[in-house]
Parts: sequence; structure tokens; C-alpha cells
Amino acid sequence: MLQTLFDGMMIGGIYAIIALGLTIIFGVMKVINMSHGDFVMIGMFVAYFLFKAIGLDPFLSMFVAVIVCFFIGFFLYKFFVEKAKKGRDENTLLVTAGSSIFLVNFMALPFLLGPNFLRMTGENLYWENKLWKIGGITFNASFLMGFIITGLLIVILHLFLTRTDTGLAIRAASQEQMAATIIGINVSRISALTFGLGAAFAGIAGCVLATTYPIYASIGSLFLVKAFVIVVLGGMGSIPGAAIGGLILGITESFGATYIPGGTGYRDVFGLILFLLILLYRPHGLFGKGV
Amino acid sequence: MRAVLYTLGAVILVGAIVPIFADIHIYSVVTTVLIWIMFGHAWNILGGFTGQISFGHAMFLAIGAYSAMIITNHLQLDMFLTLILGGLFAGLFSLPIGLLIFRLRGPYFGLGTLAIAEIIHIVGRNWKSVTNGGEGMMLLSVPKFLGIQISSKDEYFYLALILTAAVSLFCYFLMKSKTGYMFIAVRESQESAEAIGINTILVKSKAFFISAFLAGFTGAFYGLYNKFIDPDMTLTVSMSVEMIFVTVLGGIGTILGPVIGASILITLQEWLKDMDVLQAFPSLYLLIYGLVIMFVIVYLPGGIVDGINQLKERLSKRRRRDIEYTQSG
Amino acid sequence: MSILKVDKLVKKFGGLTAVDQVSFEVERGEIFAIIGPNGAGKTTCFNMIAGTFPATSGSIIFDNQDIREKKPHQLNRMGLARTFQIVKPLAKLTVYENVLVAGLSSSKHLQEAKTRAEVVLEKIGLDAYRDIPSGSLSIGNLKKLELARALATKPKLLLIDEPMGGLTPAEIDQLILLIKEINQEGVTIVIIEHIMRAVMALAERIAVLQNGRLIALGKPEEIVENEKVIKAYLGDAYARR
Ligand SMILES: Nc1ncnc2c1ncn2[C@@H]1O[C@H](COP(=O)(O)OP(=O)(O)O)[C@@H](O)[C@H]1O
Ligand SMILES: [Mg+2]
Repeated sequence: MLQTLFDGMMIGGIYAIIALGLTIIFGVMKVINMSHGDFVMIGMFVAYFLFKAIGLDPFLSMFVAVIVCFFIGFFLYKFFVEKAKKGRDENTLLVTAGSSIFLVNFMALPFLLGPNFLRMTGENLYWENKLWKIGGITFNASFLMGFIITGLLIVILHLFLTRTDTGLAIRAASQEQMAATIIGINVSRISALTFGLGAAFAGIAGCVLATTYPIYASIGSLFLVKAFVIVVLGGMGSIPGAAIGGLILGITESFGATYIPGGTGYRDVFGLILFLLILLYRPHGLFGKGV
Repeated sequence: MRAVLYTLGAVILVGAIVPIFADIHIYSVVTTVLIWIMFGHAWNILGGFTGQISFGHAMFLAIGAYSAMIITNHLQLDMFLTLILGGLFAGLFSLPIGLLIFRLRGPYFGLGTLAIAEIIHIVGRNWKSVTNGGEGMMLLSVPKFLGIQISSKDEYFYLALILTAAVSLFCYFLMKSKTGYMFIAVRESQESAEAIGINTILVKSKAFFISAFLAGFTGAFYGLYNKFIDPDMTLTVSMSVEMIFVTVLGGIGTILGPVIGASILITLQEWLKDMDVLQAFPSLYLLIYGLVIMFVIVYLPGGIVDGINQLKERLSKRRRRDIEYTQSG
Repeated sequence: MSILKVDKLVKKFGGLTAVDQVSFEVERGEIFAIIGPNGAGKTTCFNMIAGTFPATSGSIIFDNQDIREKKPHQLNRMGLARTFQIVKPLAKLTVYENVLVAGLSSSKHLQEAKTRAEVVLEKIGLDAYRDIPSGSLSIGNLKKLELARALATKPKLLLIDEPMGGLTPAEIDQLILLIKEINQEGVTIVIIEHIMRAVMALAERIAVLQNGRLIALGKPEEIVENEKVIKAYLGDAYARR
């Protein structure tokens, strides 16, 4: 029981990192990034590649993944999303759906991931199936690390948004784009930065997940759907909402799979039904204000 | 009436040219194009004309495809009836879904349809007694369309050609009708539409029904044509997205859009798939495909139809200027 | 017999009471104006009457029926049409198509709506812009288009929300005549307007709202003399004089 709860919390913490990325992008520019999950996959690949090539620990690869994902996200925004935003509402959805196809199949090229299901294994990989026992509860070591990182990231993000000029500009832009422009904030640059930042969060989660999940080009869609659920759960654009939503989804999944007979095949249905219900009846999220 | 003549002309042209090659591969490429024209029309009724962007139309495709396979294998009904039933099941399924999610607007509607389609996807994978799960389902008997046996590639090609023409004309006349205008009114402004006496929920439900019917109808044909279906071929997000892409590339909210979009996009896909270079890198064609999509949406948001219209306008303006110039000079 | 009767109407948006205990009656065939400073709750009244959102409390009787539960499209079918202060054209459609679409739900078939669209365009004076996409019209013509669309639905009661804002003096004169003409053909009119010249030229009776409350109701000549109204518009200094 307690074990199930903690299992759920750990995976939920990592879901939360992914959702944080999606939610800050939505918060600032009201864009739903359909390729967000693919940045998780890119993060996984970076961790895998650096480990194979130079034996770098995935938690150190994180810094590389952040840079890689940030720049891909930044340019994706600059060259495509920003321009698509001028058209119909759904164009940003479509253009990011296109970029998802691009990223997945780019990474599926033979010299990158190819068509394979890779597993990150190796003698010198500390994290492989590593369990830590703390007070009778067993923790997947990399997930626990991920959980701690989630906490740190939220603190850093909070400080960044409240204490730095760029952070304040991001918050201003998310409140009112027009007004932000008037008071001299370069909304275009801020949006691109935010898009990159959101992608970088997904990349961080990818590094954490790399040691436990299989790595393949199209795994991103799995995480995209989860991130949608969380973001809608916590309220589109809400940072604490994403954190709490992540935990809720993780725990729901964990209990559903453990206690509902035959629950494993339909595991992902629980989250989706939750998603629909919230979308329909609490469109501002569980903790946001009502309609 | 001009539309009927044009369609007839196109049917005769395609019907006469394709058999000249007498090539199985060409039959199959053209049939695939025709199928995607119909899928595009189906999506376009709801997404293009009524402005409700669905990311879940694969579920209707799948309902049509699975019911057609089951009907043909177990009841051996005539294929015409089978296709209609496939469409009808999909259409009926759309009604409760519409009631549920039509309160969602814009991107939220898209996410809602995506979520429902994913639920259906998971159900389709796990409900083995009906769908045979991930192993898929084979076509076990040869269907007859109004008594005529349909089995070889060329037979399917001719049938697809006729059905596509019929569906295109249906959409054309629908959009010239009172109902069609109401669809567009809802797309342009739901608030305005309500204010001029249009029951937007009813109109959206109609559009959803017709759209789902066409997707199910085409899905039924698609299933029988492939003689095998599984969840990956029918229920994935990429099938839903493909319907959007053929329409957006050609021209969202136009009748010609899906026709042009599917002709180009599907041919391009098949052509890329066949290129020797790309054989070595199977993902390369999808990579290019993704890029094309991104560029089209950004640089040609009205699709090819709109691009052509703009070009025409610019040319005619220049001609007018030339005339004025010669007159004054 | 009044065509519209509003009784103790209240609308709350969270903590804000936008409309507070407003009551008035509109007689069949009259032109009734609602005036008041920005944010007074005028548009909110229209939105409740036209069914855009429900009233927090109070009752609305239109044509002898309680209409609180009715949807906008049902009210329109009952003969209640409205224009929007913030114009909402069907931007991709031409001017003609906009009016055509507006006539659809009151017509048996497309042809009838087409004929009606021609008539309405001619009357409103938009026939010159017939085939222009409505999204590219000037603000003056957009306001006319709002009116044309409302008219195409064959209303008994027409709610017009600030039709004159942004128009030139000449356009305003034209519109005053037009609204009178529509009224003379038997359509009851409730108009919200800021431009007093137009209000005085049109209205048989005027209701004045301030901070959601009805502060005065009466004939134009009574309203201009009313202490409270003068205070509301010009401030205390003028009223005391
Ligand atoms: N949909 C809404 N949600 C919240 N507040 C609203 C809404 N519509 C109007 N209000 C508020 O109600 C008050 C009255 O607005 P309105 O009726 O538009 O005034 P006006 O008399 O200028 O037409 C204003 O303070 C406005 O901000
Ligand atoms: Mg107003």
C-alpha cells in the first residue's frame, strides 16, 4: 500500500517535469506543443549516446540534453510556431504535429536511434535497476533522483520567474501579450526562450527515464498524452498545478495497475477518462478557478 | 451542374489513363489516393467547413473498417450495404460523443477528440473477442458490390473512383445547401450563428454525423481493400493526423482541397517510399513529409487551392494594369 | 400590451454586480433607448434578454412568454434579434452571404433566404459591397451589416447595441433614418447608444443605467432635466448649479 503510493509519487514526479515544460509554453503563448513528448525522447537519446560514447552518467548528460533541447525548441518556435501563430488557432497544433513527425523520423535514422528498442545497460552504469531501500520502502534510484530534481527545478523555476528580469518578462508576457509589448518586452524573444525552456524540461525528464524505459524514436507520444492529462488536471499554464497533477496521475496509475484486476491493459485509459472529465467539467483544472 | 460535368470528366480521364499502364503498383497508388480523398472530405466537413478541428477521426475510420470486416466475414452482405452500415455505425457513434464534447472550443475540442480516440484505441487493442486485438483481422470472403464481385486491384480501383466521385459531389452539393451554409456560419462565429437563429449544437451534431459517416464509409472500403486490418492501421493518431494533412495541404474548407491534397501528398509518399536512397533509410520519407507539412502550414496556410487563387488574382491584377497602361500610353 | 417586460433583473459576475434589480417594459412598436456611462451594465442586459447567458435572478417576459431558460437561437426564432456592440461578422463570407445565412433559419429553403438577402441589402444600403468579404469592411459598414443580419431574421423586437460608435456625422444621420424606417415597418426597437443626438432623435422613452442600477426612466425631455442623470453624466458640480 505505502509502497504503491511511493511508486506512484516517484513516477509522478518525473511526469511533472514533462508537464511543467508543456504548461509554461501554454501559459506564455497559448500554444499546445504536440511534439513535446519527442523532446523527452531526445533527452533519452542524449543520455544513451553520451553513456555509450564516453561513459557519461545520465544525470550529468542532463546538462547537455538541456542545451540540445533548448536550441531545438528555440528554433522550432522562431522558424515555424511563431509564424503559424498568425494563422488560425489550430495552425500551431498542426505545425507542431508536423514537427513531431519530423523529430520522430529524424531520430529514427539509422545512425541515430534507427528502428530499434534500445536499453541503456552497461557494467559501469550505476543506475541500472538500482534500488534504494529507505525505511522499508523500495525506491527506484533514478526515479528518486528524478523526484528530487523535480523539487529543485520547481524551486529554480520559481526563483527564475520571480527574481530575474527575463523571468518577470515571461510572466508579464503570459499575463497580457499586448501590454507586455507596449512596456517594451520583446514578446517574440521571450516566447522563443520559453519554448526552448519547456523543451529543455522534457529533455531533463528524458535523461531520468533513460535508465528504466526502452529508448525508441516514437516513445514520445506516450509521454505527450500523460503530459496533456497532467496539464489539464492542474490547470493549463499553472506551475504548481503541473506538479500536483503529476503526482496525482502517477499515484492513480500506480494504484489502478496494482489494485484493479486486469488493470494493466487499460492502465492508460484511467488517465484519459480523468482527462476528459476534467476538460469537460473543470476546464480550468482541479485547482484553477471555475468556468 | 458544371461540377457534375467536371467530376464526370475527371472520372473518365482517370478511368481511361490508369489502365493504360496496366500496372498493379499504379492501381494501388491511385486507389490509395482516392481513399484519402474520401477521408479528407470526411474530415473537412467537420474541420474545414464547420471549424471543429478533430484529432480523433481515426476512431470512425476504425469503426467502419472493423464493422465491414465482421459483416463481410460473418454475414456476407452486399458490399454497398456493408459500406453504408460502416458509415452508419460511425455516424451513430459520433452522436453521444458530440453531445459530450461540443462544449469544448478551439484547441480543447482537438484535445478532447484526441483523448476519446485514444480510449477507443486502447479498447480496440484489448477487446480481443471483437477486434482480435493486436493480431488484426483478415478478410475471409470476397465481397460483391451490387452483385459484382470485387477482388482484384483494378476492380477496387474502378469502385474507388466511382465512390470518390460520388462522395466529392455529395460534399459539393451539401455545401451549396442550407445545411452547408449553416456549417460555415458556425465555423465563422458560433455567437453570431446563435444570434441569427441557428441551433449551433444541432448543426455541429449534423456536421459531426455526416463527417463520421463518411469516415466510417471510407474506412469500411479501406478495410476491405486492404483485406487485413489491425489497430496500427486504423486506430492510431497518425491516421487522424493524415486526414488533417491531406485537407490542409490542399485547402482547408474547400471541396477541391482534399482532392488536390491527397493527390499530391499520397503520391509523394508512395514515390518517396519507392526511391532507392530512401529504401535504406525507411524513416527518411516521413521526415521529409513532416517538413513539408510544417512549411505548408507556415507559408501556405490556406493550402494549395488558396495559393492558386492568390496567384490568379495577382496575374489578373497585372493584366488589368497592363491594359490600363496600353490605354493611357 | 408590452412586448418585453424585464423585472428585477440581476446579473453577478463573481463579486461584481453588473446589473442590479433593473425593471422596465417596452411597448409594442416603440423605440426604447438605454443610455448610461461605460460599464453601466447595458450590454449585460442585452445579453440576458437575448439568452447569451442566464440572469442571476429576475424575470424576462417576451411576447407573453417567460424566456429565462431559452437559448439565443430559440429566442431569435421567436422574433427577437440583436446586434453586437463588438461586431461579429462571418469574416470569410461576403456581405451578401452574411445576410443570406442570417435569413436561413427563418426561410423554408435557400431560395427564399437569397431573395430576402437581396431585399435587406438594398434597404440597408450595402448592395454596393455585396461581394466583398465582410472581414474587409469599414467599421461603419460593419455596423450596418450587423443590422442587416438582424433584420434578415424577420424580428418583432430588435436589440441594437451602440450602432453609431465610430461613424461619421453623415453616416449617423443616415442610420437614424434607417432605424426609424425599420421601426415604421412594425419592428419594436431597443437601442443602446452613447451619441445623444441620435438618442434624442429616435427614442420615445429612455432608460438610464448607472453602476448596474436603473436611475431614471421616462420621455426624452424628462430625462434631460433629471437631476440624477445630469449628475451621472456631468458630475456633482453641474447638478448643484
Ligand atoms: N462576461 C463577463 N464577465 C465578467 N464581467 C463582465 C462580463 N461582461 C460584462 N462584465 C462587466 O460587467 C460590467 C458591465 O458591463 P457592460 O454591460 O458591458 O457595460 P456597458 O454598459 O458599457 O455595455 C462591467 O464592469 C464589465 O466589466
Ligand atoms: Mg456595452
